Amino acid sequence: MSDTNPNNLEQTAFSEAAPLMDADGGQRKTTKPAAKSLAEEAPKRAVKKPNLLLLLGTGLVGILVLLSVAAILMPRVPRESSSDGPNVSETPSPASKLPLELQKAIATLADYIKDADPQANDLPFPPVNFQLHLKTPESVSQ
Amino acid sequence: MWRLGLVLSIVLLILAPGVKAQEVTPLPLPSLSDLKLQYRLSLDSYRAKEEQFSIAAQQYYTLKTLAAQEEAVRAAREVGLARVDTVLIYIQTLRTTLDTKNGIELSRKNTLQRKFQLLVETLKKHRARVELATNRLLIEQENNFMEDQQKDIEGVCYEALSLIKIGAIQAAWDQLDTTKDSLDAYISTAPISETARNEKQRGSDEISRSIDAIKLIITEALNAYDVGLENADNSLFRKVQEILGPAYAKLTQAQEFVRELAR
Repeated sequence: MSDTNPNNLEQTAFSEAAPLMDADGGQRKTTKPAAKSLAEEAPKRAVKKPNLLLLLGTGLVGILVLLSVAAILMPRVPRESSSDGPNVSETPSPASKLPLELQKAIATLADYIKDADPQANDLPFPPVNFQLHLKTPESVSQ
Repeated sequence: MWRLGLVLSIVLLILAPGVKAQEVTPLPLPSLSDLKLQYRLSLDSYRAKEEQFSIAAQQYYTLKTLAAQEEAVRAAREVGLARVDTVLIYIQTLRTTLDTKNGIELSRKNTLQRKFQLLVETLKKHRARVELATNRLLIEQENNFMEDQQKDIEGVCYEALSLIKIGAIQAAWDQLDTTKDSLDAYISTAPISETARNEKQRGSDEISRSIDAIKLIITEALNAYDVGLENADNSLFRKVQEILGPAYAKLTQAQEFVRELAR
């Protein structure tokens, strides 16, 4: 199949011709920046500095804005979730309704009952031998 | 010279009250957890020394030499001391438990503490004799003494264990009674419907019946304890445990009722 598209005909030739079509004849691309004198660089730096500072300043301001927005939004999240609580269940939790005295009494009762199991004995009588004897060899051999 | 004397007098005057205060201030008693730890360490030491004694005695019976006898006597003295130390620390742990736990009836506790005091004095005298025992006959005399003491030691210790168990149920009963009063006060003022209030009141009445039943069981256990003092041993403790079993079941059930009613 022959390619009828005229753009595809001279692809290799185009890449070779490209530098020729450049107005500077490729000279600009081959020029090394190091060849420029310090006197020429100095004004350029002076011009670029304000732009960098501007960028940095903008960035900082942006971060500050983001942080302040986040700081404002963060406390709202729990507020929203806590405000959702009563909507889910209209009645508050039972523990909060109970008087403190009763809550303490129930907790103390649990402690006492835990300690009252009659089958549990953490102080068993010492398993020492009260029949230790140092006999004579004769009485042992008999 | 007189200046030096004056300075020394002033220093003595300043320090004297401090020394006196140190003498008067009693040492803090060891806590129950410290005593339990000491007891475990003492029991471990006793076990190691009992093993050493067993080896030394066996060598003495086999070799029948004076050197082997000396070694066996030394090992017998060591195990004798470890045994009495273990029993003494165990008794101290029981006495501290009696003094620190709630619910133990005072007159019975005092009677038991007096028995313990006599027993401790007897065991300390035995310990002093074991320390001085340097021949087989003296060692054997103290071993026989300890064998004779076994019944008394076990008796007082099982009395204490029984009273501690009854006291623990009594303390839980007292707390259940207090909790029920608080619960009744809450039920009477809680912002609930009359139907719910009546329902909770019926639940509270059920707890009252449990309280009465547990009280009867405690009385039964105390009677068994008093009867068992005549010939106290492990069987007394088992009897008390058996009697208190239903009281503990009722306590745990009442605790569940309290939790339900407090919802």
